[in-house]
Amino acid sequence: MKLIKADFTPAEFRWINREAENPFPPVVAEHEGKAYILSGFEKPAESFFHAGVLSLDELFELSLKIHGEPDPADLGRMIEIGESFGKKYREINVINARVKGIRNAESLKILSRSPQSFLEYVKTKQPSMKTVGMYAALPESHKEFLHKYISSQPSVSAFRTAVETLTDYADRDINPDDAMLTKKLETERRETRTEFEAEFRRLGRILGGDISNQSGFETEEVTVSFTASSYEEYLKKCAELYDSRENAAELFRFLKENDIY
Amino acid sequence: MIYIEKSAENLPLALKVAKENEVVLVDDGFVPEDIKRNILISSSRNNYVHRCPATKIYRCCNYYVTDAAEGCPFDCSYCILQSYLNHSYIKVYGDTDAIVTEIRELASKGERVRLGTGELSDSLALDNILGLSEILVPVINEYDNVQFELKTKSANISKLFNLNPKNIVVSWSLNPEHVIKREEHGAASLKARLNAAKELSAYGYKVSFHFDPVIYYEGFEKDYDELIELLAAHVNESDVQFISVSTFRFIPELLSSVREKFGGSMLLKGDYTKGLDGKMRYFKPLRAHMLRSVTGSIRKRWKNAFMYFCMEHSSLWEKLMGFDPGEREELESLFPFIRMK
Repeated sequence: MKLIKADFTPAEFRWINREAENPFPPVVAEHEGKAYILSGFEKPAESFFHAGVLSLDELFELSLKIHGEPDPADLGRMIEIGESFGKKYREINVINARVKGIRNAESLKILSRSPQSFLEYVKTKQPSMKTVGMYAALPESHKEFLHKYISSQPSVSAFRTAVETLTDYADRDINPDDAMLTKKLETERRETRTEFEAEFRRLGRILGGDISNQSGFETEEVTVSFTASSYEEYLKKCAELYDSRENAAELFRFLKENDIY
Repeated sequence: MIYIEKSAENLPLALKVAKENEVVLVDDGFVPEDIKRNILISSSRNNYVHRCPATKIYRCCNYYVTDAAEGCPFDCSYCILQSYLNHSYIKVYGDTDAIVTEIRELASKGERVRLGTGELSDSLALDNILGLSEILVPVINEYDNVQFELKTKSANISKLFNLNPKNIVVSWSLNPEHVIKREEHGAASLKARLNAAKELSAYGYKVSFHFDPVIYYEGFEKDYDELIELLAAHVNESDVQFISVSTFRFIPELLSSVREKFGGSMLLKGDYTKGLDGKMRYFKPLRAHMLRSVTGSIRKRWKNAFMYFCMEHSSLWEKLMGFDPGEREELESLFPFIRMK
């Protein structure tokens, strides 16, 4: 690579969004008779490091050497750059090695057009490609909800759950400003059993112990449990259970009425 | 595109398909582009005839299945194949002689059995290309103790008019048109399925219907009732061999496949619980309501048609049918074809 003075304006070969600062002049390379700038995009420069005449694969390889490993949004931009040269993602070595399948390639392109704050979150938390794919397939209003949702820096699993819920209701008109949206959708999903579970818990409480059903309510078997920290407490809890034993009839009647038997 | 592995080139099905269609001969191990339009006729072997997988906990009808093909041109969001197969193209076993041998072995045991091809593929969707019905139906008709079911969501019935309908049942999976449009991608419309059923029953075939999976959504009761009204207007009760009713159930892995491919699907809005066999099902009280609603609509029109639940809990049989049918052979003994013995 040699330092040259140039009076031309090179075209940008830029997939990196934020470039690390460095003291060196920008790097340019030639490809099919045109000069491309690979670094120092924001830097006004009169002199450049000239990397010579490179193939498209070599342009990508050199830019990776300069900027390091791309994040998902960078990959999306790399795919688009490749396409601007008439190449599919799988025809460019460095992209083909990092992107599996056309669906993922399309998802990454969509991701790369998201707001910067969202891309920062993705870069930091690194959700799975599957989650990115679901995000990319969402309608714009649903994406907008997520762009706001990440301001609270949710965990990766909370983010994935939100993306899944929005995917489940992708056909629904939503208000992206409704901070309670995903909770409301989950409540709606469970509404067929909300009343049932409230009554089950109420009947459990009057039995004098903690009540659960291990079969997902496929059968009527219930587990009644309590904890005790001393012999005295144990006796007291047993007595409470014994005193409330007649209430169990109501519980099992309730289950049978709901076809759980 | 139809591909034939070199080692399958002289197998009966490959010869038959090559005579009637444009095919491409490929080396063994060739993997076609993974799309549903591609068919690969393979020489690989399989355990072709086996019992339908079931568990003891939920009532099973003791059905036998014949896997002549793996994969389906339709793309129903709820289908087990979405997560069961690792390919979208359709793999067809070329050695139909081996399939026939296994069918003969089963038949020669002498017991009355019910057998079908619709487990890992649609029985008729590709029948105009593969013509499996032309190979299998004459064999079945040699035996009086086998009833053979061709289960479909297509209206691809042209080849069946050249065959003897003796021991054959053609069945359709049915859902309201609204559900078909949203969830049964590529499958025939409800109207087309019902017209096909009408034509085949007039020709002499016994017909059957699977309300499986019944899918929950607000107002499903009215849609299924209208569907059953339409069905009863197309088909006479006396031509109906059996009707199965069952709500949507699935292996847990399926839901993430549905999310990846069919965002906004009706299935994704369901509230499911893990059943005793590890499969996900609707919450039992909701299931009871759905089954009650659909069976009630059927009984309103057809008083005597034989109806059963596929893979449902004994308590719901008791509640909704008035009895527990028992396991496998016991339930199967209720089927009209088995009762005939």
